[in-house]
Amino acid sequence: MSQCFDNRHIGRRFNDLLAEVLDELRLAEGIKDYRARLILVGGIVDDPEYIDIIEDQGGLVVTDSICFGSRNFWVDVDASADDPLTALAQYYVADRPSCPRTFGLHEKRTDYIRKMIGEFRVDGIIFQRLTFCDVWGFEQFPLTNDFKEWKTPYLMMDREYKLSAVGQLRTRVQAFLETLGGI
Amino acid sequence: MDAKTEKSLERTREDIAVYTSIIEMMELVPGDMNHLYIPTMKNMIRQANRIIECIETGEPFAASSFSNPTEIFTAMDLNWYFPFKQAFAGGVPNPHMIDDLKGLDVMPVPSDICTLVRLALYYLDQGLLPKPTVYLGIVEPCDGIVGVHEAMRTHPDWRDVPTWAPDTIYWGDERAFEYMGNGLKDMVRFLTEHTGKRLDLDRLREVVEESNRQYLLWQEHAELKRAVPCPHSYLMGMQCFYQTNFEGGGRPETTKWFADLVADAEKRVEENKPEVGNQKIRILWFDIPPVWFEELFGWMEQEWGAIIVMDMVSFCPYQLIDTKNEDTIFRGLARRVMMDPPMVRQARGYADNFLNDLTRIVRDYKIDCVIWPGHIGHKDGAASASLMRERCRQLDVPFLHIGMDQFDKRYMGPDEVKAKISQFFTAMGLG
Repeated sequence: MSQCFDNRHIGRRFNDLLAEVLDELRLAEGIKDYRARLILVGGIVDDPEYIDIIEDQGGLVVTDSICFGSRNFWVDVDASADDPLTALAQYYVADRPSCPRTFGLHEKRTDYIRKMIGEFRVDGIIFQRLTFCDVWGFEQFPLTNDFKEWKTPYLMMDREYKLSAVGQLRTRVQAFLETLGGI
Repeated sequence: MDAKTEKSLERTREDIAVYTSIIEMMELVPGDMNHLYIPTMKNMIRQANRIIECIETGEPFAASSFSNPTEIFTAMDLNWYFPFKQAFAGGVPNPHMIDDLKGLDVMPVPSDICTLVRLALYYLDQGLLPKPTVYLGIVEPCDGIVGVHEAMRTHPDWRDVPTWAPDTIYWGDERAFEYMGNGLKDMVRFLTEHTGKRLDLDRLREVVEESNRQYLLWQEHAELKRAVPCPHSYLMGMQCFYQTNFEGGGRPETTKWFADLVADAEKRVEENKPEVGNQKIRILWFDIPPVWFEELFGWMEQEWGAIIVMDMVSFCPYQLIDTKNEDTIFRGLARRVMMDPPMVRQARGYADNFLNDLTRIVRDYKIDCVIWPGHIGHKDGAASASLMRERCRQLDVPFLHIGMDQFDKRYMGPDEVKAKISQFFTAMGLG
């Protein structure tokens, strides 16, 4: 909604709905019957069913660093800046954690993931990459080393844009959750 | 020299030994093309030796991607090497290739990315690349290039190597060239800061004027390849690219090599004595040659009389640079690196970049058929393959899309590639 719709017409309604959701969440009991708290990292995931499959196995995706996810809103545009256009550019180009297509910002992207892991008390990482996405393909190389260094269990997966190989995905997630053991 | 540094030079020393022995053999058996092949190999040896000397003496040197302007390195007297070059050992078949590919298979980098760029990361990860004083990446033309430079920049072995990469603009207009030219000035400042090497403008002008002469001669050679039969094999075009982009941009010795090349081509056209005889099919190989080019292209020449008249590496669209002042020089260098090198030229921007070059080459070089190898890593071109096919139909020239990996024979084996080409020639009534 925030990225694709014309905010002049539906922005206020969208914000109202979000406020309602937040109110509900504040009063909610929360999900307790999960096996592990997970972060989803990687490229575009715009199919909620993909996350459903992970959660059906007992994983709880508590945060993310994906192309249509939290990276888009975790940092605010500086509304107090003198020049709003510069502030917008600053936000899009420099401030918000970038896609790996942007050269030279790997450390910033990694810091973001690490911060999210800490803040959201993440037990394991699921890294998913769309087949043929070169930039996440190479990002996966240093990230694998980082995950090992942080001693955070991880699962690396390639996927098609269209949801497929569901059984395989389910099995791999199950196996991963089992490796997380007593959590 | 410690063991790690010595290991990083292993392949470089092997290349020197291989080229030295090839030169010795060629000198024992004089051939009428030796004067064009031997200088290129000597250049490779010279460049490799200079990197070893730099390591031994502590002199600064760079690792750089191929489309950063070599004229600046020459003018600054800065030695450099191209990290991807180990994959093709500068031209001779890499004897380690299968082992390297097996090693690559177990790295956590997906196999649907260009094998060449993955190999560069593999060599770094295996400690086979000499650690440079500075590292210069590029961010064009493809996602794989950006990804590999980022992965190399952040690799534990090179994390402390100062890095610079141009901020390349998507468009190719005067404003973009000016922006990129200013970026190249920043690159010079970066190089001076980290290597101590300085750029003298008069020296840069001299080097650029020399490289202009080289590109002019290359264009002349490319014009001569329009002749039927084509005077030279694909190997000469590859050498032209190597001489200007990898090695000798702006060196007078390189200009002499180009002059000899043009003279040889002229003589062959006049006397109707092409380097490759029995030419029946004139091909546009619309990509870079595969790393096993000798095996494939040699077979095409012998089996079918099919000659690669033009390919992306041999194509010479490079524009000359106005050396009037500092700004025109840097703007010209920016234009050259953004718009002209193979793959960078075609893959950035619109599909028209592919189609216009294809049309021009087919018409100018009397091409009988176009082969798009469909390298798995060239996703930028894969998206335009149907448009290329359509354009070929309009030009009434057959088009073959193979779907191979230019750097990994295991993906589609030589026999299968050759069978596809043979079936295509037969079906189209060529040869």
